[in-house]
Amino acid sequence: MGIELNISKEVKGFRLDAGWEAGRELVALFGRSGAGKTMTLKLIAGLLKPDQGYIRINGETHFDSRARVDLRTRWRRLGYVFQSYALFPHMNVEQNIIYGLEGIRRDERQQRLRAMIAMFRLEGPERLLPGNISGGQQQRVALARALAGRPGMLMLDEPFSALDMPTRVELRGVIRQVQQRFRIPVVLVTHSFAEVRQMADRVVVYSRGKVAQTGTPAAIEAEPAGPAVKELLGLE
Amino acid sequence: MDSSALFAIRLSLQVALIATILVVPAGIFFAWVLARGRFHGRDILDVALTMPLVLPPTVTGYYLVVLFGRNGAIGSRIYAWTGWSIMFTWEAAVLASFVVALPLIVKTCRAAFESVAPQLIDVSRTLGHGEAATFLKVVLPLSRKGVIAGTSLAFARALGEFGATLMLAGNIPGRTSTAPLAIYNYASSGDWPRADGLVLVFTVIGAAFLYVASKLNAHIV
Repeated sequence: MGIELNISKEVKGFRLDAGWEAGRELVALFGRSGAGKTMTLKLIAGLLKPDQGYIRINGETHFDSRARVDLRTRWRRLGYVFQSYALFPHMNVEQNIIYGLEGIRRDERQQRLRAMIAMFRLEGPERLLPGNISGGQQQRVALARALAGRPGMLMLDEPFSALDMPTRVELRGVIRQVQQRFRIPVVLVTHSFAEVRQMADRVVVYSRGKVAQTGTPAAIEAEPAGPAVKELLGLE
Repeated sequence: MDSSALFAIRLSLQVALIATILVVPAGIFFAWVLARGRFHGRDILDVALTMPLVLPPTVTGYYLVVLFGRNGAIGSRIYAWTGWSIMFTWEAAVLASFVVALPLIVKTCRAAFESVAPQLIDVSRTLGHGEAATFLKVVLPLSRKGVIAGTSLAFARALGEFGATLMLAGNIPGRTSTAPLAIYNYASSGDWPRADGLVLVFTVIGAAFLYVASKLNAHIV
């Protein structure tokens, strides 16, 4: 169980060729801006369509160009936390969290909402609009919203970029806990190897639209595959 | 103010109100199609819907006569089927107002829809919602200012409609003479006191309308 993909996509002269797999673990997609990391997340979510290849998540084929399978985003049921969190500005914290729980019985929905609010320590600002809470709280609301529907996988696009250092450290812990508690693949996009070292079970190193290396953070640090990876590690 | 002037005012309000009630959902629909749709002929649809904004209203009215007149492409079928023609009826005034008001609401709503962050639409899809639910729960509430502005503009435009109405509904006092047409009738026959009365009423309605619209706008953030 986990994620398995091999896809290619060309947009405006940029070509992405990505193939990697991961189990129920925390995978970091690591590389410079513009290397194709966020694009990979969008392709996995079905927000962009690969030119060819396949994407399988927990044994289910979400996309396969040969078999002409292309599951719609809304049926893929993957948690996606955008870099800017993308909270609905006209809905309060509670409304944001239950947005993904359409079609679930009312009492069950309330129960999940309460569980999410407790897990992400959001007691207090439940009725506030996203514009009136801190960046760290916004991040936790985005996580709660993405996880409330019990997705088969969680994707996080540079989740710490807008946060100060203490909040970052705290949320790294929160995300590790999420992975352990939900036991789903968590894919994290980052360009900080410090973050990778601290959080990831596995790293996929992206360089100019290609996968340059995969492995554990320690293995990659010990033996970077070629000068491109070495240079990326040296950026810290 | 006598009964013919009162009739003209009542007719104008009735026509503008009904045209607005019809044009708002139609305008929102076309605005959403133009904002989100990726299909062949989108630009042509956009041009066609915008034309009444730049054409002289008499030209728009002429096209409506060609389409909806008793011998028109659509009108002849309606006549064959029902024995009724829209020409020279108050409903024709509604149709004329609808067509000239449509581009105003389409333009303002489209701009509002397009200013909603695409990420909010994407995240809604990842949370299991389809296009329609996303529109109703995310895009429309975040665009309400634009929708209200477009509705106000459409109503004002419908209330002041003259040229296309004249072509399609005619200028029959006590039947199809809306207030703008009645003012023209009074002025051209030298009946200044009655013209003054209607002009005053329109000026007050217009000013009150703008005032309420600006207050309403300030309330909605």
